[in-house]
Amino acid sequence: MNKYLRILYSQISSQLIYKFDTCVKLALKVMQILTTVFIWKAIYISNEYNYIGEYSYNNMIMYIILANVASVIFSFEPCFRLGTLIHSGKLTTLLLRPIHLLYESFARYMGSKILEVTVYLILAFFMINAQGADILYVFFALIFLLLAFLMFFMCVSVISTIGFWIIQMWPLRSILTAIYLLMGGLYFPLDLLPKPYYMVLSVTPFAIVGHVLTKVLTCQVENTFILYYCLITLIWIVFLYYIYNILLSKGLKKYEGMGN
Amino acid sequence: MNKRLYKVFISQSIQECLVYRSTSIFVALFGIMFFSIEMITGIIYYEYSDTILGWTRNDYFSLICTSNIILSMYQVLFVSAHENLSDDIIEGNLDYVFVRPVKSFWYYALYRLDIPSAVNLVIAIIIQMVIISKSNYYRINIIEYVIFIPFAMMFVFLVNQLMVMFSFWKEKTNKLMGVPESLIDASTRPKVIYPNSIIFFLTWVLPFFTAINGPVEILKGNISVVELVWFIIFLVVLSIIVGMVWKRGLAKYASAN
Repeated sequence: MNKYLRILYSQISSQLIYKFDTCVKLALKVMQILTTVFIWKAIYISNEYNYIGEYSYNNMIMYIILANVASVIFSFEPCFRLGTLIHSGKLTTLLLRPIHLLYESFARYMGSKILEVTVYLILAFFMINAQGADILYVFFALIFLLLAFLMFFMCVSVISTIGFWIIQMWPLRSILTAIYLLMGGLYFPLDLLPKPYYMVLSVTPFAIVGHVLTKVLTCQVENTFILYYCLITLIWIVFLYYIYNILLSKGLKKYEGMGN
Repeated sequence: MNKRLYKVFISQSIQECLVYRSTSIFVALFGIMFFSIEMITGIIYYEYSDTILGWTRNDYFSLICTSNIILSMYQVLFVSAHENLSDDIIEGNLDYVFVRPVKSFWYYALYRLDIPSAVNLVIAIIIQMVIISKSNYYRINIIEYVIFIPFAMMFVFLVNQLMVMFSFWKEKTNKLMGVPESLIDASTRPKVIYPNSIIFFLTWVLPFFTAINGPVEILKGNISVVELVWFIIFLVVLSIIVGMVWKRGLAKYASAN
């Protein structure tokens, strides 16, 4: 445990040292949010109706901002790190160490995201409280948030194993971002889609960390809804953990340790 | 750099594409998926309105196709170099380029083509041709549009090159390299949705809107000559700056990093 805490600590230090990098990252996120906000504003201005689906203009902007802000804590960086390690042959160094690849990666991920996660948790807590939710709702919502974070990490870990089979990882970056923006409901609320599509999409990992989480934070749902999604998220975590282990063991058999 | 050397690069890139078939298929597939997601998003936006601040559905899809054409062209020609340059600078791997009797800037920029991205380029071109054929654009505007696209691609290359060269001075520049990507992403939406201050900034200070929105404005016959002239001047100045920064960066480069 101690070794993973050291990795986590080193990542936190790195975040604090490279402040410029962190500031640029936040500025880029603001820019991405503004783009989506402006397009929805333009749609409402061009539209003669005050409501789109269930969303008034203010509700829509609130939704877009919250859904996109959440993406600050969900990053695809671990996907590319494993690919780089595989292609450079440096993965061997990690494999030789008495550490578990997944836990090491999680410690790094937590370390690189701990500032954002802390700020987000505090904001989420105050946001839910401000809307008059009871303490049980707050508790369930925070549990759901932590589970969603864990599930997302497992999801990117599974995706990262693709690095054993493909040489170029860069095309993944834009496609993962695009899938997350679309299926996570960051471009538009998923419940604007026809019901059958919505029902299917709403239980996928991207929708859980985007659309569902935003619904929870805006107190638009009941306690039972959160518990239902906690259960789905748990199932995803177990399933993804299982898949990760299979893919990792297959990938390691293919790994030559020489780099390219 | 000469034609013979570039032919060797093309040949090597094709061979690499065929050797790493699964990678090539994935790259092509990801490109198509990305393009499809952009189109689906457009369909959702236009579910609620026939026009968005004067931009019709056709204009919007034309913008998506145009941005994909520009970005795919950039990816085919330059993305491999940009993906590796930062690491190569930090790890001191540029030595292998300098020992060759060619201009290092162009050698590095052009040494590898990303062939799978060409699939996305072809799809975007076909859809754009269908959109153009269904619209009533003037022939002269279509010709201007075709001429303008390589300039827009050059702009994307130069801006990315400038950003990636920061690695000569700073160690961790990953996020900085995301700046052009984010500005290009913002420019793939109709510029009329933005406040005037942003439109001014991204037209006259850093002309991302001219590069990405510009071709569609040309098709519609809405772009001003002044804006086009300014864009060309900007490109020339940017080329000179990029060349100077490369030379300064090489002076700073230490192969023993």
